[in-house]
Amino acid sequence: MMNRPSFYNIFQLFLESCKKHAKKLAIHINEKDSSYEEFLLQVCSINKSIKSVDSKSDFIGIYCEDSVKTYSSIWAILSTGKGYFPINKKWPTDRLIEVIENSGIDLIVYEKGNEKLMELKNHFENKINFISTQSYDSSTTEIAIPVIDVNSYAYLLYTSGTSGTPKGVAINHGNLSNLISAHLLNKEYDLNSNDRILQMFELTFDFSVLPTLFSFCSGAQLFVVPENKMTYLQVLKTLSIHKITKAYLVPSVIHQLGTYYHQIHLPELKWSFFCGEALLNTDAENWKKCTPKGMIINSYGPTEATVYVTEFFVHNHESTQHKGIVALGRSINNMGTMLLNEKGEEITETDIEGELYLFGPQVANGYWKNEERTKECFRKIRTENYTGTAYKTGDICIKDKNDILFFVRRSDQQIKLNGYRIELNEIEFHALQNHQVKRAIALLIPIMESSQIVLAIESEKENIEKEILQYLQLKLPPYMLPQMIKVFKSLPLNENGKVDNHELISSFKK
Amino acid sequence: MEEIKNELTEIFKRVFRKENIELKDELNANDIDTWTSMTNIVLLNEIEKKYELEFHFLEVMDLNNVGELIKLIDNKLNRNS
Repeated sequence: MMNRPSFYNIFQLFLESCKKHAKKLAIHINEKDSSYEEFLLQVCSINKSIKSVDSKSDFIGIYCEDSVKTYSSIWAILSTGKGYFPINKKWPTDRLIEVIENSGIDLIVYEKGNEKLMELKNHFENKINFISTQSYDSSTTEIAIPVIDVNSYAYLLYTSGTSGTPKGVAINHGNLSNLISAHLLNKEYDLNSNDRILQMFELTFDFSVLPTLFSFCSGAQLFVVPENKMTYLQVLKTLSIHKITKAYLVPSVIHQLGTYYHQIHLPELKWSFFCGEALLNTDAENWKKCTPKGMIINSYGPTEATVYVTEFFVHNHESTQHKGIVALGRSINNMGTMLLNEKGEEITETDIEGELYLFGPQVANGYWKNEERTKECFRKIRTENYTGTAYKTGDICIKDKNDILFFVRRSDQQIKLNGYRIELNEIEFHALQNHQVKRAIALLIPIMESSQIVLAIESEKENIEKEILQYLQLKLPPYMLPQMIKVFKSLPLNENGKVDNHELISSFKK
Repeated sequence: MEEIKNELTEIFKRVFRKENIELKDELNANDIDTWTSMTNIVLLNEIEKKYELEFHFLEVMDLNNVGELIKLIDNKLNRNS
């Protein structure tokens, strides 16, 4: 299983594809089309601007805007042999400053910028260079392939952290190479120049790596879903209008389309690839009916192990679910999965719950400049089958007799909402920064056919909901904000003296 | 149209959990913090129930504001009568 994986220089794959498919459409974004030739010109021009600044850092930041230049900037950064670090303009300034400081970057590229970018410019004056990609030098398409190895960085992404600080995950080209062989070059997925591929993700979400990097390498056409609050409707629009052939989706999108299942008919769709959160069996079955020729693939993996490490091709004849959730499947090429019990011993019997550990070439080296969290989650393990570093996922799973993995529950307070990974403790941590707040409990509860984050506060002071929400808005991205905040003089307790979550949940539903 | 607007106001208050909502034609999802993709589904379901009609996804995917929503409901009701 653990062969030495092949190494791929992704920029070389990209460049070959640009030259081979020069006149073909590369990307459609914001109603505008760019051919591979035009796209490569942009990459070369941005590469020149970047090289005019002598950057010393491992990564270069991209201030993400809804435009083609954001995508060409990714490739321009990779062309310099450095990793790209996407910066999400929807995040509050405080959080952006925190992650930018941790990243250690000395250069940020942007196109137009906005007020928030000005704030960042002012904060990092003299420390970080900001260059705009707006000016355009179309004089050259000559660009060298960067000299990189397995340890060169490809990208840096931040995920929610329990103690109020986001954790950086740096993925190198060794990690990425394995994903290239398991997905981009995998005949089962057959990515090719006839494909029209869906891109619905924010670039700070690691699932975006599959469409954004691999579409360009396979000569396919990438269709970016317009930024809009009603993502699910925009996704459906893009799928149907542009006759998408291969779609990367989060399960909540098709769940939200539930009311329209009987109206949806997508005969061109060859497969739908799911990642990011639990895929419900009922949604998978209904989606299958909407895409008569389409395969359904479920996948699983944390950012720390480079997008995904298990996959499952959903077939109707196999028993493929556990309590209504589709199987996570088996590990992909060169990757290993292992269930450990509380004593750290490997579970080899079937259908016994254990915590899932991941190992293999896609597992990152640890959290970026964060030794403490690295020690917690990247463990040295020694069992009969494997000795070395493994990533502790916090996911409790079972394996069946065919070695197929099923998700059971989380071992901690982490939740998934619309594909986003959220530590409820991080919300509580920030709420507790208000001195009037004695206790804070964040919960994910079902309200009106959907799930929402709510926050219960214990405080003597009345009417501080607004004040707390305003503070949270300064610290947390929009997807982590509670939809409701309730203040209690004292939180309801059960007979054991613990906070009574059932009582809390019903008080929010009133 | 005025009647639809008044009826919709009640639905909006309930779905978005806001005591004071004044429906104007230009009002859109960016103006109400609790108007998300999830509550949008609840909103459309409540409207379908109230007026006994069914939306097609092609009709609702390009709605930009409350004015367009009211026009759509009005059109569908007139077509049915």
